[in-house]
Amino acid sequence: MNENSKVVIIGIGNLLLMDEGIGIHVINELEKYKLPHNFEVYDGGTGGFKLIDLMHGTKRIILIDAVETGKAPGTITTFKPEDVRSIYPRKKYSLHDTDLLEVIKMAELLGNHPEIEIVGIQPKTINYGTTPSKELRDAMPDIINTVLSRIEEVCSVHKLARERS
Amino acid sequence: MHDFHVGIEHITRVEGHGNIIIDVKEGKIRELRMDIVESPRFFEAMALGRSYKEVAHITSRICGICAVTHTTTSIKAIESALGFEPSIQTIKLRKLLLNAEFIQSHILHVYFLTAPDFFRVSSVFGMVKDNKETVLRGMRLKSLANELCALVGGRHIHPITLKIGCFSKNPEQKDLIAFKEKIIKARPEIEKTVEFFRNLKTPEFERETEYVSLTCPDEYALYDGNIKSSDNGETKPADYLDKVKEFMVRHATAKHAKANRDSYMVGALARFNNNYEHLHPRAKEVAEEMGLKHPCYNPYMNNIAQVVETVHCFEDSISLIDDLLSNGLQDEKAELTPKAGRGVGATEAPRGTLYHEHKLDENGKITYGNYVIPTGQNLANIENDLKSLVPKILNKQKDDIILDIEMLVRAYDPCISCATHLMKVEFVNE
Repeated sequence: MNENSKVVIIGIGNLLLMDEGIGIHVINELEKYKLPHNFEVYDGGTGGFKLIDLMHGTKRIILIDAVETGKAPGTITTFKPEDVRSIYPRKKYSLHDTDLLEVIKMAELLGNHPEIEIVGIQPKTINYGTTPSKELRDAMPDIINTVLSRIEEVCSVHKLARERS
Repeated sequence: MHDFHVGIEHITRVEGHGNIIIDVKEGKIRELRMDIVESPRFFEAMALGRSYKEVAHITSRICGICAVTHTTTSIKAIESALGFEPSIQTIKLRKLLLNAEFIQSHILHVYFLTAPDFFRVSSVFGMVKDNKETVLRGMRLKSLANELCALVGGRHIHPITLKIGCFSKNPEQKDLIAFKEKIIKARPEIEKTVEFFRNLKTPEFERETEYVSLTCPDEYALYDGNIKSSDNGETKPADYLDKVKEFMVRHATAKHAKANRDSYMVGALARFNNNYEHLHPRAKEVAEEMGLKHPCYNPYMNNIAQVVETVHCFEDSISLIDDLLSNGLQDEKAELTPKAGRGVGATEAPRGTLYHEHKLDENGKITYGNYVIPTGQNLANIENDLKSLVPKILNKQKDDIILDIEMLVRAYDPCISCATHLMKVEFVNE
């Protein structure tokens, strides 16, 4: 596939921590929709720096993740990496602390300069459990709609079918 | 420095989830502890009532770095409970996948977490200006291992072909042949890695402790084996609770563990000490080149042992690929019949021995789960190391003391906050 046309969508999160896994839940839902052939959808889990290998060789990436923005649960905030800075301190003890923004920075260091859009979803509850909170479950249709719209806008594609395939 | 108080945020990304507290008065330690307020215990509850077929998918999600090990260990526990023996092909593929995880994890740890300390920078990004090629080499090696993970495990993150009984899809033979060539081509990069870490001066500190790892009579045990203590011999995985005695401490929700003494060490250095004779010959040479002598009682050298194991895993992967190719890969199917039983899986994770125990009812539903993670086992040993180290370095400047302490904790690569990765950001222009 021509890498100029490839669009990579990666959902990120931990499926065992309720709303923390919202990125993966969105990806799982998204896979039920018919997306253009040049789209690749990945479950990025909690891969940390492994995510870089999913980002390789593409110019456009959409990341879907739980993002703490202080807004109402389910609120979707789309932004580019350069719009934000992490409020976590940099010093770390474990690879398990890896920050998505660090992953993006490292990917750039490796010579990848994709256009990245982050679709952030405000979580309600980060606790042990395999399903999202009711607030986020209720918001899922809106989240999917928004993600599809973002895909359309970010990737300049025609209107995507809103029905599941 | 006779009076010294330091509180170091241990888990920096999860507020309030861990600190190192050290209080020294007139040269004597009044208080030293690692507060850990996080535990994987709740994951076990999630497995209860689920089918034996589901549980490995759940445990795969406990940790994105050690997903192969968690999945493998879970599968082994279920297979043991059901009395199932996987084929040699399946075992070799699992070993290959495990090698990929070890290489990835070790390479990232030594390049991204260990190396910056030697350059007195706070993160790997601080190394880029003067050591960009080094950082890129680390990334290239990590990506190579990740490619192996995708080749055998079906995807880069959270393996999907790894199933109870057998692999749902084998790697293509041509891809394995191509990958072997890539490893061979990468040997100069591996040698440069050895050279780089050989030239970094590891802090001098020794404290002999009990070393616990798996052990096998005929190989460097990562995938399977008996539990070996450097103090008192071997125990079968099913009897792991005879060896591993977990206990609660007031300052941490994560359980600590002891075996023969009041603490023990798991991880690369423990494996090196217990199973040195089974390392690949090139890995032994590398150990010698880097000044890692057997046995070694310096916990900082855990990082060097990780480099040694990286070499071992690369070379072992070549042997495994050769074996798999010479026998030809067969499509396999495994029929398992649910029944009541108990099974224990024990596997080496990059950070040390991981145990999963499950009990099943007659329908194959999980009725009990117990997961013992490497870092929980290391916590008491880290505290004991710190108690021994701190009095010896009190003559240093405070910043140097803190760095020595941080480097020691980091040498263990504690896996405590694997559960969360939530982004918390502020907008630059607001």
